[in-house]
Amino acid sequence: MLEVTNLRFAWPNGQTVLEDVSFTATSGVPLALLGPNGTGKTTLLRCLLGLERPQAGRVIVAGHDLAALSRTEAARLVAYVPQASTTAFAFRVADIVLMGRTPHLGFMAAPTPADRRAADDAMTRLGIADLAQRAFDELSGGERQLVLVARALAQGAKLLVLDEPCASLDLARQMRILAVLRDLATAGYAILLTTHLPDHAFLLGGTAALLKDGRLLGPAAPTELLTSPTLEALYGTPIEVVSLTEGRARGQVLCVPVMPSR
Amino acid sequence: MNNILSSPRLLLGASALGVLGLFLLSFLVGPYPIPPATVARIFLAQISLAERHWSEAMEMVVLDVRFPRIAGALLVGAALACAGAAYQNLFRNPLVSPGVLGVSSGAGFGAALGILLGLPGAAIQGMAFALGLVAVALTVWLGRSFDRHATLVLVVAGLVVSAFFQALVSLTKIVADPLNQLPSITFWLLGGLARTTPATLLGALVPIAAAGIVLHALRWQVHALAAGEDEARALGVDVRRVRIILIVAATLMTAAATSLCGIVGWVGLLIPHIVRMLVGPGFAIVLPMSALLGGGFLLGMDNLARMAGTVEVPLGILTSLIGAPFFALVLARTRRQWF
Repeated sequence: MLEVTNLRFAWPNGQTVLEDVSFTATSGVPLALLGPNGTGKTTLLRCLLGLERPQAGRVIVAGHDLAALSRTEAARLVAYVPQASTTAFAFRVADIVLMGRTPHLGFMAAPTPADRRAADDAMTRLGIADLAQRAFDELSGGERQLVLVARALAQGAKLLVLDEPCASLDLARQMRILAVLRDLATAGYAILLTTHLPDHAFLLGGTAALLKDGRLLGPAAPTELLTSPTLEALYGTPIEVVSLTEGRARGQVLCVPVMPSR
Repeated sequence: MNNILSSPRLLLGASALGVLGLFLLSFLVGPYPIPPATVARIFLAQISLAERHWSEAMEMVVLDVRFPRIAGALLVGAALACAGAAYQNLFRNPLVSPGVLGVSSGAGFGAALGILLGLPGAAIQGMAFALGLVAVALTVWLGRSFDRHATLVLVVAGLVVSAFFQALVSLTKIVADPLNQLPSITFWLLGGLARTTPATLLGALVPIAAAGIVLHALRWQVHALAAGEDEARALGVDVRRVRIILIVAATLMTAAATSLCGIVGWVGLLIPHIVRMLVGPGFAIVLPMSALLGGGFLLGMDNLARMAGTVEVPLGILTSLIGAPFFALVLARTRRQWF
C-alpha cells in the first residue's frame, strides 16, 4: 500500500532530517512509528502526505508516485489525522466530517446526498453518529480525535496517517482509539501512526519502526524490535521490557522505564 | 426545536423574502412622497405599454434616483459582507474584514489619488482595486514576517497598513483643489450612495458579480480551508492557488464596492459574525447568507440616511454608529477564545 524508498529530507538551512529512509506499510498491519521528540517523525509524515517535498527518494501509494499526483488525487489515496486542536470557527461535527469529501467534489458542485451519506457512514462506523450536531470544540479530546478519524474515513483514502492520535488522552480514550485503529486495519486500511508509548505498538499487534537521527530502524514485529537495549539507545534512559505472566493481560508485553538513581 | 432558526435553508429563504420586501418598501422612502401604487405602476410600465398617469418627475425619482441607489446599497452591502466572510475564512481569523486588513484604506487612497489626478471613473475604480490589493498584500506580508499563526498579529499589521494609507489620503486632501476635488474626495471618504447612477452601478456590478461567482465556485474548498493550511492540503485543496484567487476576488469586490460608494465600514466585520451565529460557520451557507444580510443591512442604513432629515447623514458614519456597538454586542454573545 505504501512504499517509501531512499527518502532524504533536509531543511533549506542544510539541516538533514531524514536520511535514506525506506520502508513499506501494508494493508491490515498497523505500523507504529516511535522516536524521541524532534527526530523527524512529523516531517516523515508530512513527506508521506505530500505536504513536504523530499530532496531524494520516492513515496509510492497504491502504485502511484506521490510526487506526480495532484493534491486532489493524493487526497483520495492518503488521509491525514492531525492531533485534535480547536478550530477558528464553531463548527459542528457534521461540518468537519463533510470536509473529508472535498477531494470528491466536482468543480462548483456542492456535496451530493452520496457525499453526505459517506460522511454519515464514517461517523456511524466509529460510533459517533450521535455527536453529528454537536459543536466540535465542546467535545472531549478523545471524541475530537474520533471525529478527525471519521473525516479521514469519509475521504475514502485507504492509507491513514495519524500524528500522535493518543496524545493527551486518558487511558480509556487511548484504548478506544487503538481499538478503532486495530479494527480499521482488520477491515483493510493501511495505518501509520506516531506515538511516544512503545506499549501502543505492542497493543496494536502490527509492526513498529524507530526513527532516530534521521535514520529508520524496522519496521519489524514489536517484540523483535522493541527490546530493552534498543529502546535504551533510542531514548537514552534505562528501560525494561517485560512480559506479563498472569492476569487478564497475560502474554502482554510492556515497556517499563526505570527511575534513574539519585 | 423545530422552528425556522433550526434550518439554515429555511432561514436563507426567509432572509431572501425579507430583503425583497425591504427592497420594495425602500422605494417609498425619501423626501419626495410617491404612493406605493404609483411606484408599482411605474415599474409595470417599464415592461408593458400601460398608460402613464404620473408626472415625469415621479418616474425620474423612482427609476433614475431611487432605483440605482437602492440597488447600489444592496450590491455594496452584499459585496462587503461576502468579502469579509471570505477574508475571515481564508485567514481563519474572525477578527479581520476589508476594513481591518487595510483594503478599504488602500482602495480609499487609490480612489482619492484617482480623483486628484482627474482620472475618469473606470480608472478611479482600477486605482482603488490596485491599491486595495497592495494594501492587503502588505498586511499579509507584515503579519507573516512577525508570526504567521497569531490571530492578533494580522489585525495589528492591518492597523499599521490602514494608518499608513489613511495618512496618504490626508496628504491627498491637503494637495487637492479645495473647490473641485476636495469636496468629492471628502464625500467619497465618508461613504454614501447619493451619487449612484445606472452607469456607476453597472460598473461595480460586473466585477462584484464576477468575484461573487468565483467565491461561490470555491465555497467548499474555502470550507475545508477553515481546518488550517496543512489539513486543507491533505484534504485535497490546492491551498496556494485557492488563497490567491480568494484574495483577488475578495479585494476586487471590496474595491468595486468602495469605488461605488466610498468607505463604508463595519459591514464586512459585523455581518459575517451575525451570519455565523444564525447558520453556523460553513462557508457554503455563510456566503449567500452574508450577501443577503449585508445587502439588507446596508439598504436599511441607507434608508435611514435618506429619512434622517434635510441634511443627509453620510452612510459610512451611520454604519459605524450602529455597527460598532452592535459588533461589541455580538462579541459579548459569542464569547470565543480568539487570541
